Amino acid sequence: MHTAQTTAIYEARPTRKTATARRARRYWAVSLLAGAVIVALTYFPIVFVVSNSLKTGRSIFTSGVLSLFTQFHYGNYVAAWNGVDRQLLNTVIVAAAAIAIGVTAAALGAYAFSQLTFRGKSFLFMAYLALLMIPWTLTLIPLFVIVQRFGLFNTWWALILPYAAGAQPLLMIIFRGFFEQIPPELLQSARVDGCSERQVLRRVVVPLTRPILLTGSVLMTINIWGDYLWPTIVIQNPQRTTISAGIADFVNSFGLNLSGGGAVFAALVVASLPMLVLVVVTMRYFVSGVTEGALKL
Amino acid sequence: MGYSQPRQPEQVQVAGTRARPYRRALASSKTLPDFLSVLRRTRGKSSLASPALITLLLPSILLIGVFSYYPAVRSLIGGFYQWNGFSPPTYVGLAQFNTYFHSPTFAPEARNLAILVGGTILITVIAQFSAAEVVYHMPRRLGNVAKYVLIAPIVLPPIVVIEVWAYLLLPDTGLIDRLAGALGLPQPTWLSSPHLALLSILLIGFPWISNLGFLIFLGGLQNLSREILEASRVDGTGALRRVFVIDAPLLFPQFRIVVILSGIYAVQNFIPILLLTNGGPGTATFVPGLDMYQSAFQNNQYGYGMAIGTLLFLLMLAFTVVVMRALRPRTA
Repeated sequence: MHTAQTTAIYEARPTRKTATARRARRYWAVSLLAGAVIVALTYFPIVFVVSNSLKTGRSIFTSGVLSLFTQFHYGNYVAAWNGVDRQLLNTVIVAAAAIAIGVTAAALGAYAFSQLTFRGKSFLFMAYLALLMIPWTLTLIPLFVIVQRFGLFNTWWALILPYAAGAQPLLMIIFRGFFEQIPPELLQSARVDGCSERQVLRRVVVPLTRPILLTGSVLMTINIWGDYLWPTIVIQNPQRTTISAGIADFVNSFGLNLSGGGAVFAALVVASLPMLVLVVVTMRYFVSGVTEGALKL
Repeated sequence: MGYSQPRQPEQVQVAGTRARPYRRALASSKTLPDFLSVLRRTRGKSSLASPALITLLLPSILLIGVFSYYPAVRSLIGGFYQWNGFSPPTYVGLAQFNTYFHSPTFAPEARNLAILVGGTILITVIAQFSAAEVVYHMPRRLGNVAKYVLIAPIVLPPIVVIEVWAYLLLPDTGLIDRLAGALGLPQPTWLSSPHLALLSILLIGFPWISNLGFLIFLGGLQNLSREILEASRVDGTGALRRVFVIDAPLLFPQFRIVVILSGIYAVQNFIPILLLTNGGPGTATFVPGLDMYQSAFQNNQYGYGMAIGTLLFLLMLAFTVVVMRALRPRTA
């Protein structure tokens, strides 16, 4: 066997083996140390935010620089929750509607692109790829004009429809790639076994594609959750806006000197926590979806 | 027409008229999915106009048509019209582009944008490539955990990151200045200092790892061919040398994607500036994106804003093409 031979060679030259092993161990040690450093650097602001979110007012600025988790003032979270609960709910509603529309539209389209043949198919798909080259700064102003023309200003539709549309190119690319892997014979054999076409869709296609539909939904949720600019442009009523704009309003209501103290930091945690939980739960889908989309560029 | 016949596609093909396969399918099916399947099995290459395809594709096409393509075209045309959003637009040719190039803020905008784009690309590539190398060299299972731990903050809402850095960079009372004070270092005023404001904007998000580029680099490293790595080890190439001589050249495509993505991101991302400095102090952090935003949504100069938007689009297009050509993979 190959491995046996390699071992034999290494045994014949013991100095070389130990040198390699020692070097490998050294790389591990160096990489572990470096890894610990970059993880610490990445997470230090998060640790400080969580620690500050539990402190009372001025003590954020008066207690020692590195006094982490010295107070546990949970009242901050009550204040923060009362400040942004409405916006959290709005975001969930808007995201759910945008996902329902965007993912359904993209999945139907991807089914056509992957399982049907028709004239102009590759040209039409190019139209989706080309959209990746159109920056949002180009479409921002006319999109606002359209929203006004349609009478959608200050309504959730002004968020839902552009979000659903904006997700189409990415969703179409990752969905098509996935749908193409379903062998047509599988669908055919289900039909032969007596499934009606609706049953084929429900019992074969949907279960098979559920991971990618979930990936698409997660990516859309993260984008909608994090979008600050568009809601501030099309939603005037602070009670109707989504979480990122709501957080900015909440922080601004105290001013930059942070007189709100811990509640400001608590609000930042409240806005971030749902996304962190979501991504921890769906990490594998999320990572594969995000890289696949980028590498298709 | 029974249900048995469509199960034999060849017969349908022969019996039906080739040009209108969907009519036949329509006659023989009761529900939409039935209809779609019959249509598929007729195997005729349907044209774009067939009802089944329209049902499947129309929702998505309508969405991108109305909310992506139409605004894009409208914006490219809109730059040639002066328009305040209320009265009818008037055609002014290239006048608004001219006005922009000769505006007193153009020079600082261009300078700031160049610094932001160059700086963002540099720090993104260095930080994310180094992080990917570190994780790649970790023991396998630990590296996998480290990958997820390092990428997770990508989901933090940008507004949260911006607000956190607004706090970290507060003069005197912010965390960084207090740390500097405790160590006896100078305590700059960061965002309110004309010289440091732009640098402070770049600093937001330090250490800049939790992003797409990190995953792209790591994926590239993990796909490097075993033979090359084995060969380099036999040759006794050191770790640091290997990074520059083997990893970096072989990851050329990944570098290209990350340079393009981070460059485009930097051109467009005026949100931290909008929230933290609004272009100031003076014009120290003023950028074209912010100019566009203010023109349209604060001064009602929609046409002028779209002109700047068009210029930014052309800039990004040119940037992408140049990078694609300049960073072509060099095959030996």
